[in-house]
Formats: sequence, C-alpha cells, structure tokens
Amino acid sequence: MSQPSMSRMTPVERAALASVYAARRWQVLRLAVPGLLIYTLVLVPVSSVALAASTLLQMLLSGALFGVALWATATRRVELAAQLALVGTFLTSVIITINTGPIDGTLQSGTLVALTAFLLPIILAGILASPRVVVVVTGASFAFSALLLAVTPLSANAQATLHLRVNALLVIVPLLAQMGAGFLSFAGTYGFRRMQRDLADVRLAYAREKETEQLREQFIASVNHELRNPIMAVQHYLVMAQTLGSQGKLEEQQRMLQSGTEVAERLTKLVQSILEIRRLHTVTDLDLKPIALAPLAWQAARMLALLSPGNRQLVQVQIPNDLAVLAETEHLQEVLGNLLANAAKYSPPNSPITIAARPLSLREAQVLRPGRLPAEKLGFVEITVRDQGMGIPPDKALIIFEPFVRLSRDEGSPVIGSGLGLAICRANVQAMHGDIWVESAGIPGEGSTFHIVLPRAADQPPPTRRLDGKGAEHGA
Amino acid sequence: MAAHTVLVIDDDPYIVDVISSALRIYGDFVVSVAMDGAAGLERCMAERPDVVVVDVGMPRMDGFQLVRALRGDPQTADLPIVILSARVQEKDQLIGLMSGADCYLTKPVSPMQLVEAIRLAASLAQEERAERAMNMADYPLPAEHNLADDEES
Repeated sequence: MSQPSMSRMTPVERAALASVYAARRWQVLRLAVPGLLIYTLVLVPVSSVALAASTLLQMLLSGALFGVALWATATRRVELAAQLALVGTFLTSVIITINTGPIDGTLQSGTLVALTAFLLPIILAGILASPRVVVVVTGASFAFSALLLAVTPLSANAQATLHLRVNALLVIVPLLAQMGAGFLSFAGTYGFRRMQRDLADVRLAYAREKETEQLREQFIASVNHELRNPIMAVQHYLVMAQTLGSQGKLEEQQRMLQSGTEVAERLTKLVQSILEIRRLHTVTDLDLKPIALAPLAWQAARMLALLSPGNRQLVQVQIPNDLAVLAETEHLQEVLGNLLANAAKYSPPNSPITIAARPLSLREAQVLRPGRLPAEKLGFVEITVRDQGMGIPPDKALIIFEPFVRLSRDEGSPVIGSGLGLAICRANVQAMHGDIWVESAGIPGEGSTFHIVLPRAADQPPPTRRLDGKGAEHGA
Repeated sequence: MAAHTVLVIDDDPYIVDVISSALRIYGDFVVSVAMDGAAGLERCMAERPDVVVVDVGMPRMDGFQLVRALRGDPQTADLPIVILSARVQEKDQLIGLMSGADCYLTKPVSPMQLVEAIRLAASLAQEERAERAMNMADYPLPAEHNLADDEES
C-alpha cells in the first residue's frame, strides 16, 4: 500500500494526515517508559540474583522474555511486543557485557555499556518508527556483540559463576536472543507503521467525506435558492396569462406566455448545469494522462465556430507544438471551451481572442501562485485565454469562480448565463491539480486574461498533421 | 382612494416583471422598480412609495442592509416593507424581521397572495399613520422645542 502523496491533497485532508503522524513522536515514550520501569523494578533485582546464581538462569530469563514477546507479536499485541523486545534487547546486552567484561565485568558497567550501545539507538529507532532503522540498529548491535564475544576473554566474574562449562552456549544464546529482539522490534515498528497507515486512511476518508458533505449541503442550499426565482416567475406568468385570457386581453396574455417560455428555458438550462456541477462534485480522482495542448486548443476553437456561427471573432492559437500537460481530455476540453465561449460572449465582433501556452518552472509557478500548486517534477504549463471584451472588475476577480455568481452588469443583459461556467472550470482545473485565475483591469475594451496552470507532462510529438504553433489564425 | 405606489427592488429582471405585472393586474398599484439595493435606497428617498417589496440577495447592498438603512432614517422609519426572498431558512426570516421588515414572504409565492400581502401592509400602515396623526393632536408642542429644552438641561 503506497502512502498517499501529501502534495495532492486539500488542506482539510492534509490536516487530517498530519494529526495521525504527529502521534509518532510521542509513541516512543509510551513504548520506552513502561519498558524501563519493568527493567529497573523487576529485572534488575531478579537478574542480580540470577547473576550470582547462574549465567544459564540469566539466559533462561531473557529467553522467557522473548517467548512472551513472540506470543505478543503473534497475537498482534503490538505495543507489548515492542516493549518486551526493547527490555529483552537491553537485558541481553547487559548479560553479554558482563560475561565478556570489557570494562570490569560488573552489573553497573554492563548496564552503562548496554544503555549507550543499545538503548539509545533503539529509542532513536522508536522515534523514527521506521522498520528500516530498526533493522540497521539491530544489525549494528549484533555485530558489536559478536565482536565483543570474539575479542575479549570471559571475565573473572563470569568464570566464577559459570557452573556449566559450555562456552558455545554462552556465546550463541545471547546472540540468538539479540537477533530475536531485532526481529521483534522490527515486527513491532512495522506493525505500528501499518496501524498508523490504516488509521491515516480512515482519517483521510473521513475528512474527504466530511468535506464532500459540506460541499453537498452548500450546493443544495444554493440550488434551492437559484431554483426558486425562475419557478416563481413561471408560476406567475402562467397564472397571469390565465387571468388575462379570461378578461379577453389577448395581447398581454401573449406577452406573459412568451416571457414564461423564456424563463422555462432558463430553468431548463439551470437544471442541466446543476446536473453537470453535481457530477463534478462526485468526481475526485481523474485519470490524468499526458495530452498535447495545441490540438486540443484548435479543437476548442473549431467547436466555438460550430456552436456560435453568428460570432465573428478571430481565435489565435499560440502554443508550441509538442507542449503537453498532465490532464484529462474531456475536462480540459470543457475548460477551454467554456473560456473561449465566455471570451466570445463578452467581447465585440471581430476582436481577437488569443489562446497561448508556455512552460513554467516549478519555482516560477510557486512565485506566481504561492501555496496553491503541488510540487510537480516536470514543472507546469501556463495557458492563457485573452480577449478584448468588457473586462472584469478587479474586486470580482475571485468571486466569479463561485457557483451561481454573475456580475450585476450581466443580470438582465442579453448575455445568457447560469453563473456556473467558471465554477465548472475551476472544479475541473482543481481536479487536475492545477489552478485558475483571472487578470483584468475591468476597463471595457481592455478585456481580461484567464490563466490556467496545469502540471506539465513530457513533450508529446505532434500527431500526423503538423501545426504551425506560431501565431496561426483561425477565423471562428 | 388614490392608488398606492409600490417600489419593487429585485436583481432578477423576470421577478421584477412578474411582481409589477401582478400588482397591476390584481390591484391598482403604481409600480416603480430598482435592480439593486443601493439604487433601491435612492429611489425610496426620492419617490416616497407607500410600500417597498425587497429581495434579500442583491448586488451593492443586500435586502437586510437596505431594510436597516430605511428603518434608521426617520423619514422612512414607518415605511411598510415586505421582504420577498428565496432564502427560506428560519435564521434568514428572523434576521429579516429583526431588521425591521413588516412581513417576510418566501419565493415562490402566488401572485394573489403577494398582492394581498402588499395591500395589507399598505392599509395597516395607513391606519397606523392615521392613528398617530390623531395622537399627535394631543401633543401640540413641536418636536424642535422639546429638543432645545433637552440640550439646555
């Protein structure tokens, strides 16, 4: 299971994950403190007695400890297993140090060496909670113990207490025990990691669901609001048409019916847009692929010509032939189509509309839109759609991307719109890990420039037909 | 009785059209319109309508702000105000009434219902004005005089 990439998440999701991983730093104290208590309160006195009695007894003691740890691991008592492994490793290292006697072969010096040589690295491994670090630490301490056993003679203390003269057993058992400890620590930290990831998944799913739920509620509220106006208008027009008909005022009745039909059409468009934005809210993971940008832009320009034959705007495409973005074709097409249609709608006939694109390095992108873009290896592509139309007042530059927002100057104007086009664009671009914004002085004639930034993909060689990317023109 | 004048303030041109048509067809009201809150306030001050019908969600100044502005001005403090909004939540209705509206209607409302509500608001206000005029007769002192006294003390 791969860990989800933090950079591709919404702030809410990132916060949910951070709360899970913040727990790791404290987890080690929960593991180490009870382990140290067990050691000082129980095992020090017991092992002191054992030391005086028999080295074999010490080994049996640590063996028993590992037995319990193994059982705890097998039954998925992860915390207990990790604690026992910690104490077991510590005890074994004490035994080894005392028996080989590199300093003076006493319990105190053994504890000291064990503390610095074994416990600190284990705590470090615990803080990092990484199975890999545990493997390295165990390997290092195993090598250290083996070296110690190989180069130093048995201490006088050990010789005096050694009733069984089986040197091999004395060497092999602690080493095996230490390997066991390493294995258990590994199992413990690995299990902890797994648990943490599972928990992260659950938290993430929860955060996503909560966010979606909020969006859904917000959506339902605004839909409810948006539908009431046209419904009331249709209802009024019909009732009034009836009244006027019964009064014999046929001309006025005709006007009511005409207006009612217009509003009903608006209602139909609104419902269609609502279904579209509804679909957007349910899409979370798009299948993003490298897409050559230039052909897509040409297609959008041709679509504009087909859909609005009355418009006589000149669409210029200025996109390098092999420039490609990581995107989903239909969603990107919808964005370009909407932006071009908007540009055509709000600018005078025969004025040029330019769609251009340029590669953007990661640093440039982050300077341009700080904190709003993920860290993409290949950098980004900036697409701009520029028109010479009415422009957008700077104070409305953010709000126009919200659903159902239309500029007051367009209310009641002949330009038809539901206030959803740009909201759909923003949702699409964000679903493709990009960003969209508009620049405009709000002065009629100076127009506006919509910017889209999308992750860059490796260059795509142009398909069969060669396109001239430099200032080619297309009469729409 | 002279026809009442009604000022309709709503940013949706179709809503403005249906309300003014309904007021003409089902009543003998004289209607004027404004397409946003700020324009509505200006017209209100200039035309002194008998009743104001206000939407809530509007550009420049929303309906609640407009109602508060009207209530805050002594010249329009008694003006009958009907809020007609697509916001149906209890919270919004409370805000509307606490801002000083006389009546809060939610869209959609039938034409007859709307016209009756406006007629009622207009006649209630008329009664109130008549009553106040009668009460005022009991207090012959002009308001300026009282104010001057207060300032001296």
